[in-house]
This record gives sequence, C-alpha cells and structure tokens, in this order.
Amino acid sequence: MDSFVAALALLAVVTGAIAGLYAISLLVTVARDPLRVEPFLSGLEPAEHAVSRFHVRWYAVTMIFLAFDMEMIFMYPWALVVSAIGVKAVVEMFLFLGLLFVGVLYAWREGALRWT
Amino acid sequence: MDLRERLLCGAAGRPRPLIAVAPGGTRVRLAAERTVRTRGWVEADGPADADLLLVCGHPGPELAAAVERVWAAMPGPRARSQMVRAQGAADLVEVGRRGLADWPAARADVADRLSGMRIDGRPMADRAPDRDGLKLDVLHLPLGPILADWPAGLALRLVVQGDIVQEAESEVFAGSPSVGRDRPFWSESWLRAAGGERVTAGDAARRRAASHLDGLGRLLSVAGWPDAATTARGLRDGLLTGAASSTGIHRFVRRIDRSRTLRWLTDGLGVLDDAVARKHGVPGAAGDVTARWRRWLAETGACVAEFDRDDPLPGQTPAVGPRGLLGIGQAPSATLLDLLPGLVVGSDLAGARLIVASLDPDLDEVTHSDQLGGEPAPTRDGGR
Repeated sequence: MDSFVAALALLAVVTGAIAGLYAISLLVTVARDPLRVEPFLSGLEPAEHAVSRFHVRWYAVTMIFLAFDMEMIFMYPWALVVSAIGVKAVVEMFLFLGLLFVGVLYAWREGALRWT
Repeated sequence: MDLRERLLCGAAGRPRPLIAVAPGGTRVRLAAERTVRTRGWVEADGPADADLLLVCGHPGPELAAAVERVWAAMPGPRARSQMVRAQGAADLVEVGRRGLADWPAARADVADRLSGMRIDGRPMADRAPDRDGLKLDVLHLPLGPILADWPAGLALRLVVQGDIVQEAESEVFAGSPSVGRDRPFWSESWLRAAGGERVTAGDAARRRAASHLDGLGRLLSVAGWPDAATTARGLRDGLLTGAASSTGIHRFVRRIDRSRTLRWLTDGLGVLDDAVARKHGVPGAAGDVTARWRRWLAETGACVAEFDRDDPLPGQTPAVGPRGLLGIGQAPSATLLDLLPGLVVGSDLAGARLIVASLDPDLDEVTHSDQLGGEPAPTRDGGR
C-alpha cells in the first residue's frame, strides 16, 4: 500500500506542476488563439502542400529494427538461464541469430539497404 | 498586471534575434552579430523561434517582401529594427529589445494582425520518377534569402524528392538599387590597392583571416558545433576591431584541425575538380568540403605571421582575394554561384547546407558593379 501512496503523491506533484505551467502561460500570453502561419521557407512562398511520402529506405531500416527487436525479446529470458544450461543454450541462440542475419545479408546484397 | 509585466521584462532581457541581411550590409551584420554575441544572446533558427528581427542593410523589393513574410510569421511579443549603418547598430538593437518589454504595445500588435493566412489553398505535391523505379513526391524547397548561417541574399531553389536534392538553381536577391554601394567588405583591401590606394599587407592579412573565420563560423554552426562557431566569430570580431589574438587563433586552428568527427562528417561532399576550380579562378574551392575548411584553417594560421607587416600591398591584377582571383572579369563569388547547383545535386539536405557553407559565396561581390574593370554579374531579382 505504501508504494501506491508514493506513486499517487508523485502523480499529484507532477499534475500540480503541469497545471502551474499552464496557468502561468495563460497569465502572460499576448493572445488567446495561437498564430496561424504558413511554413517557414526562408521568406518565400510554398509551391505545394508539404505532405509527402518518405523514400522506402526508411521503411527497410524500420523492418530490420523490428525483426531484431523481436529477437531481443527472446534474448532477455535466455540471458537469465544461459549460465544454468551451459554451452547448448549459447549454440542454439547463435544459430537463431545466424538465421535472422542471413535475411539481412540477402537484403544487403540485393541493394535494399542503399541510402542515396 | 504587475506580475505579468515583470515576467515580460525578464523575458525581454534575453531575446532571440533573427538577423536578416541584405547584400551590401556586411559591415552592419558584423556589428549586429558582435552586439548579439557580447550580450550572450542565442540567435533564432527561424521566425517561430524569434523575438527580435534585425534587418541589416537595404533590402531590394523582393528581399523586402521576404522580410515581411518572415515578420508576419513571428509570434508576439515581437520587435524589429532596421539598421543601415554599422556605427549605430548596437543602439538600434537595444531600442528593439526595449520594444519587446512593452505589454500594451504587444497586445495592440496582436489586435492588428491579419489572421488566417492561406494555408489550405496549396495543391498537393506532384510525383516524378526517382531511382529504383519508384515515383516520389516532388517538393520545391528554397534555401532562401533569410536563413540562419546562410550567405546574405542567396536563394538556392531546390527540387527535393524524399530529402535528396534532384535539381538546384541559385538566385540572387539584391539590395536596394537606389542606395549607393561600398566595395564588397571582404575583398576591400585588394580592390583598394588595385585602385591605387595605399593598403598595408598587414591589413589585408587581417581581412583575409577575418573572412575565413566568418566562413568557418557559419560552417561550424551548420555542422552542429556551435561552441567552435562562437569562438570563430569572437576571433573574427577581435581581428576587425584591432584586438587580434594570435595565440587564440593558433589554438582555434589546432583544435578544429584535430577534430576527426568533423572530417568524418564532411568527407566526400561536394567534390570540385582541381583543374576546373583553377580554370575558373577559384583555386580555394577545389576538393571536398573537408579540403575547403582545412584550407581556410591553414590560410588563417599563415596570415597570423603577416598581421604586423607595414609594407604596402602590391596593387596587382589579378589579386588573390579570400574567395578567389579578383579582376579576371567575373567576381569569384559569381563563379561559385555558377558552380554551386552542380555540386549540390544528389546530396541530401544536410549535405547541401554543408556544401554551401564550405563554398561561402559573398553576394556583395556579385551585386557590386566595380569589379576591377570586369562586367557586373547579371542578377535575377527574386520572383518565381
């Protein structure tokens, strides 16, 4: 029960601090509504809407991150028990990593990871 | 309310200035930057960040329109100062700052402003083929006349797909045509010597070192090393006010030269062929970005030995100015502007900014009409 009291107290302090900041900003603000302006293009006018699609190179990197992130999830419990089980566990984990890495190597050789 | 005014005065004590420079306003810009630096203010990156707009020099009509757009994009409380002479610059900066602490004026300013600019009237981006058989959206991005750490009056209109530059075109936003112009500040010593005046070699060495330090300040700021950029600007101001510190300069040169991270960041960007550079009279711009800033550092260090020379500068033509050869018909900065689009195409936006900062064209040279007997370079005044 103690820890809940501490957590609630921290929540109260943080909420109070944020409310205080909002109160100060309401006090010193020059205008009620924020200013609506066009995007800053060094003083020139924009030619088109700025919404645009990203190049696929970012998606490739994101997918690889996600794959290895899932692999990391398997590594966390493995790290706890590897010392008890011994060499067998190490070999299995490295085989798993190797299989994942074969995919990355293929993508690399095919040029999917080229940046510019 | 008293508390409100006190908070506002406290905030106005440290404004974030945005410095907009017109070609021909170099002296004023140096005075304004010195004021800002000695008072410990941090410069703003853009109008949303800024409290104080400092306009240096006389902007021409297109550049003045750009300044007005930037002014309209600045949220209140805001203040602006127009400075045309270097002597009164510090006072005008102070006047501008005091204008920020005025609460009733800030409220009145807000009430006057036109609300709701045309935000949703723009067409969506068109698509064009990119590499790998993809079609990506085409964005027209100007690295424009009013930008932090950017040569004054230059607009580089980029066509960008997915943050890689596909096309580039440089454009000059000139100063006001009705105002008589002085010689370009950075090449002044050599132009005066060629005109027959007596200029000491020490003065010329100081001017060259200050020009390189100015360029280095911009490059280091763009590369993400603001501490070194401030040091460079402090050394530049010291040189121009006569309080040069040669040990300071040597220490700075050694520190930047040793930086492996900066080399790693700038290696291989914007390579200009040695032969091409020499043919066009800009030998200092050969190589990649690393070669250019290392050359600046080496020349600055070499100039230190010549600060105390009293002998007159030989008024030869062509003279070797800080950016290239002066007097061969076209100003070196005009050549740099011609070469710039070719170097920038293919790099990403950060690379493009580093390349421009390393070439550092001085648009005072381009818009000035007295080029040691050469033709004035044609300027395309703004417009789209």
